Amino acid sequence: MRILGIETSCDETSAAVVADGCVLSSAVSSQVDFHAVYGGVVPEVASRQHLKLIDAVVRQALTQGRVHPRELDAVAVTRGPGLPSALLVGVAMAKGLAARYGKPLAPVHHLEAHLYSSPIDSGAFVALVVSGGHTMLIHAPHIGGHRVLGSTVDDAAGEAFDKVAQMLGLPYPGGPVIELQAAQGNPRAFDFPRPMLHSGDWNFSFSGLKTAVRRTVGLLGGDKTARMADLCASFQLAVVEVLVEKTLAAAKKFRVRQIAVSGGVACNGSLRQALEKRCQREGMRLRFAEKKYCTDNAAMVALLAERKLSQGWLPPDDWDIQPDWRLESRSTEMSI
Amino acid sequence: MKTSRRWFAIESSSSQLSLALGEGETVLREVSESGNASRLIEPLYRRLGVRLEDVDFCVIGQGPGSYNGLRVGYAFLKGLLCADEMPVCEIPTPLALAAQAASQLKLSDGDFLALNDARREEIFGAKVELRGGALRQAETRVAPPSGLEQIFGRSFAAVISYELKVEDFPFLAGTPWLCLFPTASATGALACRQDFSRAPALSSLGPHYVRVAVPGRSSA
Ligand SMILES: Nc1ncnc2c1ncn2[C@@H]1O[C@H](COP(=O)(O)OP(=O)(O)OP(=O)(O)O)[C@@H](O)[C@H]1O
Ligand SMILES: [Mg+2]
Repeated sequence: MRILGIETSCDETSAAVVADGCVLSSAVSSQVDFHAVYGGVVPEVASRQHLKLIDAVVRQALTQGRVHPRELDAVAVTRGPGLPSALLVGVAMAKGLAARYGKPLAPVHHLEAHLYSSPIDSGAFVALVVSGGHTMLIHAPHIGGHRVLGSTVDDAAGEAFDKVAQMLGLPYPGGPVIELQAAQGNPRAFDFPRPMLHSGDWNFSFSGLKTAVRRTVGLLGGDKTARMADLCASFQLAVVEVLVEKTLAAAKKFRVRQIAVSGGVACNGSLRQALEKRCQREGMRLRFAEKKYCTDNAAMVALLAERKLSQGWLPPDDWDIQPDWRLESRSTEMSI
Repeated sequence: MKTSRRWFAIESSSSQLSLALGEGETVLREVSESGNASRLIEPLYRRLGVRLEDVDFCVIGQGPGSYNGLRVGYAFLKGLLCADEMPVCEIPTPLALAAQAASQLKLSDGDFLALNDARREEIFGAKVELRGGALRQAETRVAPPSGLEQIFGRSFAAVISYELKVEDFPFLAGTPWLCLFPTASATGALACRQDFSRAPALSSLGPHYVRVAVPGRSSA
């Protein structure tokens, strides 16, 4: 099967062509520079940029994938969740392309695409999807059948990285710069809270941690700059510890031997190392999405659609964007 | 450019989405529906039954109007043409509205004022001049209602607005007030009169946004 995927849910304009589980091309045009001046994503800016770039990005993916739209088996596009005016652009583009060439159009759930973007082996697994807008723990007895165990009750982990970076005067997006700073710092310098570590459920909370960092920054006053690396390292460790401990606890509770991690924050080297260490000790298999497929990309959208279509999924006919689409629990089994 | 060329047009700047197919100034078919453009555009396209292989150029209503409606129209067209080099012509929506008004009032001369709600207590106004059957967009401006008279004057053949009411513009009392939604057929027919043989690339086209994306910034 040859599938073109399109993704415009937030601030990356992306298109990709996949065939039989392989990525033939992946074009991602990041808008980070346009949003950096505002310290975060401005929906109207994002939407205008998507519209400007979408045709060039799709053409690039088609050219690099050496495929004419005529030769596609389907077009897949992110339907939600995401920014409404940003989703609209990708969806209308996909609808036009599919209509012109008479191709099936597959609406894809952005978080489900993140969830399956790591190379998961068949069998049960626990997944941590940790991105700019979401932090979720998921249990899946088998691929395709998943149940959301818990998610953040306030800020997502990536959002916490972005907000802490902003309060430290560091550029957007915060994750990569905090990671860089943290590499030079002492992660035990400040004892930040580990929110909801022992909450007894599978939820997360990062806004209290953010407030604790703000308070410390306030107390440090002018010394903030000198302690930048320590602040970043201590904050990062607090996030990583909570993510690692809760993920491992879920894997143990549900007796699974496989953990899958994806989403933008899964780029974080410290999180990767901590999880690797713990999984090795516990004898668990750890599956990370490749770094280039952790942040938003259309390859994951096309791959998920391909998997589902090859299992006989019939996409709905009459549908629209769904900005607040929740990740539903599913019981259908998908094999790879 | 020969006037007998076949075109396909999209007008998505108002709450009434319309798509049309024409040849020269003759409209062959038109379909329209009011509602959510994102949901309606694909079924309407199918209902129009156009074969783009038989079309010489495409036309898109540029707005101003609903930002999301415009985005849907442009993105859908970009999807249709993603593997084509077909010329695309953008028509400012006030021109299409004035053409519709002139035809309804059977006028070949006169000035029209098209008004849109620009939000934040401001109005988008466009003055369109009709001279010997030819239309020209003379002046466009975003201003508070109280400033419009000074900018545009008060003498018009008609005022056109699909969302505002005459009561809110006392200086226009007595001027014929038409409630017209822009149509793809008027948009397409106008494009035939234009020479766009050196049409810009599709990726360089875009809607007319009445404001910058972030107030206080001139970029993006
Ligand atoms: N090395 C890193 N360390 C920590 N966080 C990172 C790193 N790299 C990226 N991030 C964070 O990842 C987030 C972006 O990830 P992603 O693109 O998956 O999120 P999103 O698409 O905006 O949100 P969602 O997928 O929930 O809608 C940002 O918050 C960014 O700070
Ligand atoms: Mg994402």
